[in-house]
Amino acid sequence: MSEHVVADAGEISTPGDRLMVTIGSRQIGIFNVNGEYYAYPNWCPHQDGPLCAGPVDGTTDAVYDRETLTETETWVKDGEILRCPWHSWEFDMVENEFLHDSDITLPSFPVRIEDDDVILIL
Amino acid sequence: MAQSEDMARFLEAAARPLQSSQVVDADVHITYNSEVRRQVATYMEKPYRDYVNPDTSKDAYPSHGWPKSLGGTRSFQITDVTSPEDVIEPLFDGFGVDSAILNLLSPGDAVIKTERGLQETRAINDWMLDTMLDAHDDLYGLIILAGRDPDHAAEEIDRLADEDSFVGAFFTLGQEFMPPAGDPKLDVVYQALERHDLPAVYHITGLHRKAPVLRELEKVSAWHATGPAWAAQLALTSLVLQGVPEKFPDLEFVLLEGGIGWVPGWLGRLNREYSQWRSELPLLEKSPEQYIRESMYFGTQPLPEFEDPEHMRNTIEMIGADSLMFATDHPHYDFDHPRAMDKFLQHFEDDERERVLAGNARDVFDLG
Ligand code: FES
Repeated sequence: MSEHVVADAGEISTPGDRLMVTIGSRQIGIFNVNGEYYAYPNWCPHQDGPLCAGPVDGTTDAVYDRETLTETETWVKDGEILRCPWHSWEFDMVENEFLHDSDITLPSFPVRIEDDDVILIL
Repeated sequence: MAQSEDMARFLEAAARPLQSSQVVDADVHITYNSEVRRQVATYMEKPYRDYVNPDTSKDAYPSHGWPKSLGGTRSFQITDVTSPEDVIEPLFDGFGVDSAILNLLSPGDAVIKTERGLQETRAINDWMLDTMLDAHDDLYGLIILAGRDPDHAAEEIDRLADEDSFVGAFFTLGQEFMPPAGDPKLDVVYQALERHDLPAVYHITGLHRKAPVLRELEKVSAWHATGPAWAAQLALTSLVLQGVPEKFPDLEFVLLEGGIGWVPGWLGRLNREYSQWRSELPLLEKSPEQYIRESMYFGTQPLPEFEDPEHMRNTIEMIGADSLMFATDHPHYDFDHPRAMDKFLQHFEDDERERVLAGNARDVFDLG
């Protein structure tokens, strides 16, 4: 395990902020998701796309009422979904899973804010 | 009884029935010819009984969907099926089939007047029950529906579901007024089917009315290779991506006469679409492939004919013996004999062979 000071905390203090850092040969994206910090490799397991360069968004959910036979769609997880810029796989940063197949996950790295530093632990 | 000369020729070709296995035929067509229409009309009221009866109907009867004129001197029918004997003699005695699931390609979603289409499908069901299904324990039928009026279709299911010889419900794909199979307005029909524990069965027609580009292909073979497979692909795609198996998890679905060669490719294709467009398919909790493997069945006819038989084995393996249901498509010209299917099943385990030839249909249709 190694700790790396990668930025000033101010650079990622607002929800929605992100940082892309390079450590050795690894590119890692660090995201402020509603005040929590998440770090994932800039890599998509689909076809190796640059996942962390994609837009952060929410997504749709739906429930079906079997009595009235109606489907209701809702907008959920706003700010928690990272969408791969290549083929739009949706990655849930909070749950660490791709939405179309929750068995697909990513290595994740702890992030800590200490004093005024963003510290990434690899 | 159908034309006896045709029948004689037909039986000659069928001299070797398949032995040593039970066979259920999931797709046998009653011929909607003048003789049957005349009988069906007696179950109807005026004015529409006069539309259906060929002796009083002034205009040409609308086709159920095939551009018949393309066929030239050849007919799409090898013989006619208008009585129980027309099934028993060629299929049971000739082919070695043990049970047959009968349907009728009704014009209910093709005729212009909705009320006539609804009354006619209802009359067809009554006629089928009285004339075909009550005659023999191993003749089963599907409740013929017009998808254009889902409330009526649901009522028709409620009306007939208690008849033991009706073992599912039947939609005719490709006709003008049949909505896409997964259209939410059909949910009321799926709800009725789930209530009665009956499967939903879809049969292709030519699709050329909805996809006029098919008319431009000129060759019958070109149209026949594409239209039916498209109709089946549309139904499968619509069902899965609209989430019908998620909405009605206990329901089972059977696609007839779409062929099976394209199915493995479609599993992969739908999976990919789902992964790339998941946010517009929020109802789905599983991959399209999982839904299809859990709840969809494919009639095997028309069997694909690869040059290398090994490729057929691969196809069956990829779809899975659990998802295939043998069907002849009798009495149409592109029918499959049970032996043609069985030839490809020799390399499979006995229980897999049994499931394709009979077991899957017995379970899904809950045959007695
Ligand atoms: S590489 Fe990320 S979705 Fe294809």
